[in-house]
Amino acid sequence: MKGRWLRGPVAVALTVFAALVLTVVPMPGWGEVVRPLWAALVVFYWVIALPERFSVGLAWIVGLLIDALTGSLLGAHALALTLVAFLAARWHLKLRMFPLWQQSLAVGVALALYAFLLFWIDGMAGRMNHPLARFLPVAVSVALWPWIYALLRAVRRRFVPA
Amino acid sequence: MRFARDHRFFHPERGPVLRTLVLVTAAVALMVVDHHYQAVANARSVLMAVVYPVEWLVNAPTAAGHALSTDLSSRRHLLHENKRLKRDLLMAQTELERLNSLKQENTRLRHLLNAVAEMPGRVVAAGILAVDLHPFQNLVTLNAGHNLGVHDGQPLLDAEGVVGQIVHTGPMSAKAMLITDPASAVPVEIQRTGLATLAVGTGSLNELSLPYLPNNADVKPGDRLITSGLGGRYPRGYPVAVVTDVAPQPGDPFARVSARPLARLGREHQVLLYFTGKGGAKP
Repeated sequence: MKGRWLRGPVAVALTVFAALVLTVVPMPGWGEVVRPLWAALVVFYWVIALPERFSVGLAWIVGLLIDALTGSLLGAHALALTLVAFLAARWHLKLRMFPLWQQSLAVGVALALYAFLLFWIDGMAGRMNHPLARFLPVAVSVALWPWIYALLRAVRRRFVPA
Repeated sequence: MRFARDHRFFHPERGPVLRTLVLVTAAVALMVVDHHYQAVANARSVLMAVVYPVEWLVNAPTAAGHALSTDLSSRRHLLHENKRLKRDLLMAQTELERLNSLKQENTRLRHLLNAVAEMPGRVVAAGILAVDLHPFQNLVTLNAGHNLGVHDGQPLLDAEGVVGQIVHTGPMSAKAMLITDPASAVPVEIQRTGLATLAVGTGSLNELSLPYLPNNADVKPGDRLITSGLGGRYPRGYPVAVVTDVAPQPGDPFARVSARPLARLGREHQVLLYFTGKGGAKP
C-alpha cells in the first residue's frame, strides 16, 4: 500500500494534537489546578519509544505551540519541554527496562523539572504564580502515567511500523 | 528521517546533547526578546494561526450545543422571547432618545466651556472561543483577529462594564486579558467623588483590589468605579466595579479596598471590541 509509511507520523501527530486540545479545553474551577500535563506526558512517551524520530526538535515545536495556545511567554514551554525530551532521550534505554512504577518515578522527576522551570520563568517575567497550581498537575500526571503509557503503546503497536 | 543515525546528533547513551543546547539557547533568546521587545508579535501571530484548529475544536462542543438549543427551542418559547425582546427594545429606544438629548446638551455645554469634544468610539461584537482561568492568569480567546482590525491593547467591554484588553492578536483570533488578571490594572475613578486610582486584578473572577487608596480616602462600600480614561487605554466613563469592602490598615499607608467587577466575566459568550475614533473595524 502506498500511503502506509504515513500512518505512523499521522498517528503520532494526532496524539500530540489531542494533547494540545486537552491542554486548553475548559475545565470547572478546581479542574484547572489538577489538569494533567498532557503534552509533556505524550512527548515523554514518544521520545522513549522513538528517540531517533521524535526528539528534542519536535518537543521544542510542541512547546512553542503550547506557548501560543496559553498565551505564556514565547519559548517558556519550548524550553521546559525540550529538557523533558532530553532527559527521556538520554534515559530511554534504561526507561524501557524499568517496571511501570519506576518509570512513573522518572516521569515525576522530569515533570518536576518542567514545572519548576515554568514556575521560575513566570517569576522572572513578573507574572504572578501559585506554586500549588504548578506542582499539583505533576502529581496528577505521575498517577496517570501507567494508563497514558498503555494507551500510547497500543497506538504505537497498531500504527507505527518498528 | 534517518539523520539521527549520525552520531554527532544522537548518541544512544548520552542523548542529543548538541541539539538540546542549541534549542535551549534559542528558547531563552526567544523569551528574552518576547519579554523586552514587541519584535516577536508577528511570530506569535503566525503561531496563533497554526493552533487555531485546536481552539476551534475546543469550542466546537459549546458551539454545537448552542446551535442545537436554538434549533430545538419551541415556537411558543420563541414567540415569548420575541415579545420580551420587542418590549426591551422599546424601553431601550426611549432611553436612547433621552440620552441623545443629553448628549446634545453635553456637547453644547462642552462647546461653551471651549473643551474638545470627545471622540465617540465604535464597538464590534466578538465571540469568546475559550476561557483560560488560572489562579495567576485570566485570559479569554476571541474569534476575531487582524481580519477585523483587532490590535494589541484594545479595550473590551460588555453590556455591564469593562471586560479587559487585547494582549496578543492573531490572524483570526486574539487573546484578551481580563481586568481580574493579576497583571491587569485599570485606571478608575470613584464616581461619587472623582477620586482617581487603579483597580488591580486578583486572579479571582469576582474580585478587584484597589491597593493605592490612603486610609483616609473618601470611599465606602457600594461606590461605583468608572474608567477614568487616564493612561489612554480604556475609554472614559465606562463602569468597572462596585466597592464591596473597605478596611483601613492603621499600620500601613494604604487601606485594603476590594471591589466586585460589573462585567459578566467568564460567563458571557459575546463581548464588544471598542474602536476609538477613526481607527476602526473593517465591516
